[in-house]
Amino acid sequence: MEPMHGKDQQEQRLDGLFAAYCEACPDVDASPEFMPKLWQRIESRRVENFWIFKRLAQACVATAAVAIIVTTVLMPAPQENEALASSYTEILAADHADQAYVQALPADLPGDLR
Amino acid sequence: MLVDFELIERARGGDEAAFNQVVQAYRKRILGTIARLIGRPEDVEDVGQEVFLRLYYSLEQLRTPEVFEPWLYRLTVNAAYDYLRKQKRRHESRMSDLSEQQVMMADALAGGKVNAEENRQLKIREFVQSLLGKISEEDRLLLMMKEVEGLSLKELEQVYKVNENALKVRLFRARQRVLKALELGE
Repeated sequence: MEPMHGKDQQEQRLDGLFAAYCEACPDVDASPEFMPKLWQRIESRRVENFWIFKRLAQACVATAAVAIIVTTVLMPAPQENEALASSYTEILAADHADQAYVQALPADLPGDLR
Repeated sequence: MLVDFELIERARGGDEAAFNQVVQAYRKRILGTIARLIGRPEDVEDVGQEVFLRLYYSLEQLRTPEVFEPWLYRLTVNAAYDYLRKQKRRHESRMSDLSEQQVMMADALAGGKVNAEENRQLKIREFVQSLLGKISEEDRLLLMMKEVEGLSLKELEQVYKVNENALKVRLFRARQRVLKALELGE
């Protein structure tokens, strides 16, 4: 048999240490309070999450309200613009008010067709 | 699998009784793993509860019940990692960091109440823990999962979501670091 190298010896020693460690660790079993405590933690996390969500929602609502107020204050008031206030036909009529319209229909049309 | 897929599906759907059954089935195994990973028996239950708490709130993200066990191991490794990080920070701010068990053992030793076997086991645990304390938490947990928990590379692949070759490299490097720490300690 070939003599073992120092490196291999160290490797084997480490493997032995891991195996011994595994054996040296005692079996752990849960105490009777394990489950009640676990459910307590689940519940408290649930409450915590609810409060976080609630605070987040409140912060969002407050931010939105502030944004609306700021936008309302900063937005320029709409100026009286004639072009926007009146309809297209009214503008056309106003533009052509000085023009004399020609009678489009022939004068000799029978009365019931006029 | 210690439970059937149907039970996991029920727990996933919000059935608390089913969740209780899942916890009871895996409790001993997970607590044992945590005990070996963190090496502080007095904190095992606390970390174990954290694992199952995370499980409760993440169960609905589980794609299929088939991947439940790697999922649970992943939660266990993450909770142990968080614990070790916290411990490290605490240790850095506090010089004396004897575990409750070490203090009890020291007291018992002083009173002559500890038998030779218990003393030997404590020394092994302390030695391996101090050795692993010289490498990063990530390396430590990976090495423990492979060498102490006995997970195969395939299982580790599922837990860590890293391909086999990358895992082999990480494991090799972690092992080399421990070997170096072992050499330096002599």
